[in-house]
Amino acid sequence: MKIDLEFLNEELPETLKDFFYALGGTPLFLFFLQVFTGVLLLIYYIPSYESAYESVYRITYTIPMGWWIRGLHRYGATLFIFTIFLHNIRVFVTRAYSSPREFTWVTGGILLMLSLGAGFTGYSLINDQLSYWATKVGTEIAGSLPLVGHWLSVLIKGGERISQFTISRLFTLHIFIIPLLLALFIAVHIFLVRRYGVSLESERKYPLIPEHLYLEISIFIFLLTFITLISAIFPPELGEKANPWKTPSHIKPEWYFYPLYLFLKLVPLKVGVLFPIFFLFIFLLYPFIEEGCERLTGRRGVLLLRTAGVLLYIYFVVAIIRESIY
Amino acid sequence: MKNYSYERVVTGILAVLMLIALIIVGGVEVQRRAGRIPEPYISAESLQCYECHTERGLSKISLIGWKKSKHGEKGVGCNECHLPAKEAGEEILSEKTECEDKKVKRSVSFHTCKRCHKKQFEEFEKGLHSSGMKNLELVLKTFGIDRDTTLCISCHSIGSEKNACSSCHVPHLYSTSSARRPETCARCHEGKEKAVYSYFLSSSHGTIFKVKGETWNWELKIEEWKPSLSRAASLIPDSPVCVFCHMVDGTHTVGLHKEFSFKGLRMAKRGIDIAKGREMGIDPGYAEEILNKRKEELKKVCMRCHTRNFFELNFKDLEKNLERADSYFLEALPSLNGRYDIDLFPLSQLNKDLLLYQRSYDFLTHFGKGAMY
Amino acid sequence: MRQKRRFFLSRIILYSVGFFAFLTGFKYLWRYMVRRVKGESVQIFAGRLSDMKEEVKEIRFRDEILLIIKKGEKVETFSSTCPHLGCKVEWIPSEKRFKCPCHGALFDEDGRVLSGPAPSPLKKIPTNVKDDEIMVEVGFYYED
Repeated sequence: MKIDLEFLNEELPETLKDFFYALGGTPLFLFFLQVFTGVLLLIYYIPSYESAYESVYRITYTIPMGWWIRGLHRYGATLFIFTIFLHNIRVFVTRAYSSPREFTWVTGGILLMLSLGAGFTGYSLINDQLSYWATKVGTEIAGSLPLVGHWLSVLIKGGERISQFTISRLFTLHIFIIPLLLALFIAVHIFLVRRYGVSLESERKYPLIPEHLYLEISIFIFLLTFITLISAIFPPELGEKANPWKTPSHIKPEWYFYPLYLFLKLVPLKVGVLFPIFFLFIFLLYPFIEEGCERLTGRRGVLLLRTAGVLLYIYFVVAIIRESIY
Repeated sequence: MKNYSYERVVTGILAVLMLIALIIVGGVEVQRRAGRIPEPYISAESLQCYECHTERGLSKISLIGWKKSKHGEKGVGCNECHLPAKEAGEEILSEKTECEDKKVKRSVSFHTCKRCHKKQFEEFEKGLHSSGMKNLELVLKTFGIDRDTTLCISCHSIGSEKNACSSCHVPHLYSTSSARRPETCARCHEGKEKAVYSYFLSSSHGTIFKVKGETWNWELKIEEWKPSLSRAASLIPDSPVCVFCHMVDGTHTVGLHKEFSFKGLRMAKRGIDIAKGREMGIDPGYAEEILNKRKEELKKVCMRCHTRNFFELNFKDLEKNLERADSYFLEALPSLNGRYDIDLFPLSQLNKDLLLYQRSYDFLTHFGKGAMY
Repeated sequence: MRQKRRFFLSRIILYSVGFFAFLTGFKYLWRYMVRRVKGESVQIFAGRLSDMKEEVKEIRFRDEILLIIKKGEKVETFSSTCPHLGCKVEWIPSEKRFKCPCHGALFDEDGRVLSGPAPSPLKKIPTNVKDDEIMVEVGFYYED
């Protein structure tokens, strides 16, 4: 009893009122929203190669409110990844990943990767032209990795070609494995945040209940309203049914893959596949790399490193904007 | 206290905005629901047929056609038609099928259609199309030929049990709008011996159809076709097509107008032996009063758009032209017949008679076209 | 004092708006999960009365098997679904009653329960005979 009361009376530093610093909580809400709308969609979705498109069509056009639930899920996913990305930028800029919070960064990076995976598997389940060809391209890229490439692409596709087995696998990944891993890593991430505290402390405090609660509720309502309005103004549509014999004129992945997509257009395939993997490792282990860099080259080296990081973020933003325009 | 109410105000405003957003969602939903065809409740067995066929990739066109049809909309499924009715004929009941359920038959008897479309079935039975097979058999008997009807069946099967409804209402779409179009009738009523469709196209009525037919709303029922100046008038057919006169007000008793077939009116008027005609299997009863009755029926149809004087004038011209054409035909008949005495080609009796039939039609159409209105 | 009232009022407004928003959202969710069924009915031709030699005839339409029972000049139709747990009810000519093979429910020729576990009589389907033709009214259902 005592512990509970203490938790409720907890006082938070006033910095948490600044949305810039409260960006971490937003993806958490959106995760719950995604799970909730995902379960609702699950009631009507049929994970079969033949019926998937039909079931999504039914959800969008026949079932009452289906379009809204689907819109919430789709735009929720976009917002989920977007807010994680913003949060990541904030943490990088404010150097909140430095000791002792390295593992917080690592788990956060893993969460980012998992959410991208959820996005990819999710829109591949619709089985319209975009889904099919995006899956094809994705598995081709995976397949062009040296040594493990073919094995990896067969693992994802469930065979040599995209078939019922592919859909079943991506479905299992999307509704069970990735959400489970997400939940696990979120728990670890929050635990680490609570353990080491937020990076920017402040003298002035404010109570958890009721002020912070109101804040969180406001954010939640705001997000919900925003996504609802977007779904109402731009209801989700459905492309043509997947046709393995007809490549559409424009295959583009979802916006969060644009940086990779642009990169692949600019460099040869082998580089384009190997470099992102290399970059992934650097990204996940960045706090340790920075510490090593500081020890080796001092502050100048770190400044260089961080400038490179900022340039990379700028590239991401530019790539996303550029690809959306074309 | 001050911070408190600030938070609450913000939350309150957001809650109001949320409510507004939900109301907008409700509005969009109502709009979407208006254009939505509700999903029909399909019986479990029909669903079984549909799913098995989809899984195995069979009958794709049929499934798609069915889904788009009114039957599909209302959930009248595979089971309801492909399990034959008890009264179905032997030919259908003894069909072999590759389906696991041996009771399922590919052909659908009109007794099945009758269960829901009773009115149309009874009207059909009273009309001429239903005797398509009977007439064919009669002609063959009259000419004393062996039963090789493979070439005739394609049109005459409209009188048979399995093709009666599907001849004009093509399965699985069963589209009434396409059944109203003349092209459907032209499926049989066209060709050298029965070029009625091209006669129609060269008439005034047919010309209007040719030029404006694409803009008409063929979904309208036949009884709704009437000349009008209302805003929707451009969608109503401006001129009659086959179904307007031959299936008056949508009745399935196809028949008006037949007195003007060359075998009919002219025989009576020319005093050709009715008894002989009966022997040839031609429907007798072209007595003067019957012809007058039919003229009155025809007049009623024409007077939906035209005046009585217009009708009488044109009818007089029609009768005159037909009489003239007939007289030329009678004059030519012996020489047409006589040609066969030369016996240039060894023709079977059937072919000789068919050739005569065809030649006389060829001859007559030349003058017959002049009779087209 | 005014502070307290304003405080109270704002609380009420906030909660009621929130409550309505919650209700609306809940209503939408309910419509999503539960689909209404609308019905339309049509008359189907079930044969001629004069052709009916046996007392009870079974006709099959979509998911249901209907039992048409002839009583002199009148005709009644019952659904063959047993109101107990849904098995198909049979007519026993020797005993002049309907019997359900699953748990032994018995119904008389008017569909009323004679004995057995059935909680209600057999469902009656509107029928009429016109010009010797039996027309049964059956329903088409839509899910919206």
